[in-house]
Amino acid sequence: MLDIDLWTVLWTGVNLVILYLLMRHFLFKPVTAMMEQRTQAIQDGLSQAETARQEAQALKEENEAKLSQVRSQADQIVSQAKQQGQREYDQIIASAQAEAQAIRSDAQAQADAQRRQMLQDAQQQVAALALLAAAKVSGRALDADSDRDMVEEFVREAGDL
Amino acid sequence: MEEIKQELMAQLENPVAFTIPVLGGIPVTVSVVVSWIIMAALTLAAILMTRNLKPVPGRAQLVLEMFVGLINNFCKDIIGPEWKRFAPWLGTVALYITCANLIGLVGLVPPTKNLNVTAALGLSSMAVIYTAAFRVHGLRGGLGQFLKPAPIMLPINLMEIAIRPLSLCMRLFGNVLAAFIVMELVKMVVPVALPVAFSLYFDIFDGVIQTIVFVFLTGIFIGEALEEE
Repeated sequence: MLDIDLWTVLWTGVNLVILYLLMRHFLFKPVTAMMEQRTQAIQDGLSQAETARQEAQALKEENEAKLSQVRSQADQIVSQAKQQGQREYDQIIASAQAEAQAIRSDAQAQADAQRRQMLQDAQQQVAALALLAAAKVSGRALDADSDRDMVEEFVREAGDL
Repeated sequence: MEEIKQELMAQLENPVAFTIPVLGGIPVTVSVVVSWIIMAALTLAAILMTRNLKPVPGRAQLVLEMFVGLINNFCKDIIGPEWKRFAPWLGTVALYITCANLIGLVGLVPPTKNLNVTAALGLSSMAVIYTAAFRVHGLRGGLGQFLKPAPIMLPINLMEIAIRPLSLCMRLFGNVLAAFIVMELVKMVVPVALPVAFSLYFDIFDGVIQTIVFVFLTGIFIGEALEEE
């Protein structure tokens, strides 16, 4: 039962070495390689997914930046157009007002001139009438220039009163 | 009683299966022949099962990967960065001892019942452990491993060279022998039904446990031998 049998020890040792070589070649190497290959594939897949995600993120940020830029440009254009419109509107209004003002002041001036003219005419006629009346009264013709000046002076003073 | 003893002793013999007629006759025991059968079966199974490995594993491949992954992870934990060189050895020993312990279930004589087989297992594990130390640390460093953790430990470390294989060998042999004797006695008392229940414990459970113990200790010794400063 406990007898030492060196041949069996030797045989078993040889058996173990052979079995080790066989198992290493047929079992452990291929299976470990396959497992590592799979781990590698999974890692590659994950890192690829991560890269794709980052790319998508960058693209999205770029698009957002572009969009906001475009939006601000659009805002700028609209506000410029508004300002332009406002300016033109103001200008038109101002010129119209100025024109109206000019027309009105023209009319005023014309009216004033007419009034003055009429007043003058009236004064002259009144003076002539007064002269005529005075001549009638005094019985002599008062048609000298000095007389007329005197009467017109009188009428003017009376008008001023 | 005497009959039982005779019967047991007969069962515990390690008979020679045949003799190779060279060098004055090389005896080949039954244990060695059974080992050959185990080796042939394992190799055939390995070749058949690893014939087309796929990145997406099938059921058989999953079982293989579970086993190989178990051994690999165990070696990574215990041995460290050099695990790749030792995982196949520990895996081979695990497969061999498991099969050798369990082959009694199919009616063959377990080779681990033979002291010389377990002695060879212990010795080869020692060979692996001390070669590993010298190959990783070089001659000086390998010798230096015997002075750890302190030079005063040198005698004990030297004694361990003999003690470790002896303990590995005797533990395995003793457990298998004990299980074998208990099973034989049970079979003599109650030949039907009861041995099955006992066999579950003594043959399967104890057989697997002894495999784990052997591989675990060998792994720890290798890890110790490779330890850096």
